[in-house]
Amino acid sequence: MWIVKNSLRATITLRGLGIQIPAGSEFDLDAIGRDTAEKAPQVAVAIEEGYLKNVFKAPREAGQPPSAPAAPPDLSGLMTSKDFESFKQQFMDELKSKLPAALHGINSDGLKSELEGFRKSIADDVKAAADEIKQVARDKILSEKRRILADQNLTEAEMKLRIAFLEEKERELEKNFDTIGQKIEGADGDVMDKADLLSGEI
Amino acid sequence: MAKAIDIGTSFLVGAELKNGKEVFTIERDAFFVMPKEDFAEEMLHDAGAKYLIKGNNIYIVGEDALKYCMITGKQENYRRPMKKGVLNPGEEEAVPLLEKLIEGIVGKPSFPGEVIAATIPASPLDQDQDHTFHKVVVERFLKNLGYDVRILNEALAIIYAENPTSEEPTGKAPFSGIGISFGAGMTNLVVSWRAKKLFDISIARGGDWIDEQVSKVRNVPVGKVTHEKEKRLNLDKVDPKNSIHVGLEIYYEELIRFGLQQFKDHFKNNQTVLESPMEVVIAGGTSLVPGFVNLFNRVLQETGAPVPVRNVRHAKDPLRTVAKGSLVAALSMEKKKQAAKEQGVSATSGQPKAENGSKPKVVEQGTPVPDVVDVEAKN
Repeated sequence: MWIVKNSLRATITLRGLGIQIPAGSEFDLDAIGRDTAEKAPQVAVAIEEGYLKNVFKAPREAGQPPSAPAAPPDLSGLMTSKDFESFKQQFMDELKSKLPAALHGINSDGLKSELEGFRKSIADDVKAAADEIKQVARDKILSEKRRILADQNLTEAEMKLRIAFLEEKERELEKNFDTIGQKIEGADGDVMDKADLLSGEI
Repeated sequence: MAKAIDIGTSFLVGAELKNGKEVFTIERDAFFVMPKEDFAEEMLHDAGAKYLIKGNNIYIVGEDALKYCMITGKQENYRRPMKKGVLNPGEEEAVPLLEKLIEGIVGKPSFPGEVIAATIPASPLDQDQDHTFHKVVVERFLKNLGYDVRILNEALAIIYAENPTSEEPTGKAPFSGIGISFGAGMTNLVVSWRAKKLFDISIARGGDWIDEQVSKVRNVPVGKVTHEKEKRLNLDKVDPKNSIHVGLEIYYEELIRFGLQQFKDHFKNNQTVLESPMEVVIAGGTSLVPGFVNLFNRVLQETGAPVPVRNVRHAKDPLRTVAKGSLVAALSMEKKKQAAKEQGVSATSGQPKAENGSKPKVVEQGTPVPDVVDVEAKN
């Protein structure tokens, strides 16, 4: 495994290698083969300039094939809200179909109130589960928002890129003036005195 | 000998000494974009307009940009490279234009390594802002021109220009006081004692914020609010029937109150204890409106301050005070460099120069070795 991370806020495309790494994402370069990745000048430049950061590089063993990309996490066991709704519906339908037969001949107030309590408890549980799901979603949105706000400070690599872009733009400009602005003479004439005084203080 | 540049949201102000007197060069920090059509360049050149060309566009710069905006009525083509005191994140293409404006104001250094002091605001408390990029760009550009660049907090520059003093048991302490710069994009405050910055804050509110708020609540264009503010408003005599003036007074008060409250809240975390009452000096274009200092005094009485205040005064030249203070700092730095050279001490190493190229002598204890001192510590 050779995991690298895109430290920019733009997608990095490594031309010729057919790789695109979205902003902030990680990628296993062993997917294209350790040899290819190590020899590729695009990878070397991206790492040197700080666009890609090394996260983890497993030592290379002789004859070791490139490791497969990590399998996505198994989400099959998790229950989604849809599954939960359909389970709830299924349970209620079963209850409705079997309950009349079970209650046939029984006319007990105690049993009715027990069932009512049971129904209420299920309703409360369902509401609590729904609230929990909403809270998880809210927390996730908040943490994403915080991450985006924190990323507003530029990384060193982004700074370098922007400076390089600026230098390119500076070369394109032609101006028709050497000096600009309105000249005004100050009235005090005490700047030198203050500079002398300041020299003694700093 | 040394120069200074105040890079403001609305204006760029350069300063230097000529024949013993300070000379300021002022230019509006704006540009107007128009397509490079037939004869456009020729007409602009004949009219004496200052402009830049890039690709198929002409960028008229400075005061001429505002004139062309008013003539053509194309507000959307009138743009500003700076916003809230720093480079406008939405105008990154404008950064090279701003650099050419700065170069037009300060020119090339008179000699290689001439000191130039450039002001930047502190990071604002109330906004996430890309402050580092602004500082890096300004430093880089001025260095590329050949200057020895010193970065300075703009409120500290007020202290250097106006030299407020505090009474100490040992006598008057110079450059001791509270400097507040009320600019178009930001408001900066510094507490200084004997030219050392003890505390500083910055808020991302200024004259532009006042105009925008009043424009919103009164539902009038921002330009009209700005015109009323600059030409007709007097905070000592606000006409209660003039809804724009009333709005301006409210937001001026809110700006001052918010700034002083932030000062109180954040100064608590500072270890400094100041016993001698300090003078407050106010500068910046937003403070030019008549009655501003009286309003400030009134709000100060209500909110209080975390340090004892002796009096509040306006800078003699509020628009150019920051540039003047930066020039004081730059001249001071240049003097120290010259003194170090004359003593035969290397300015960067602090070691005496070897006369014949041999290993430098060890400096004897007690020999003054001036360091190259930054005017301020890191923000």
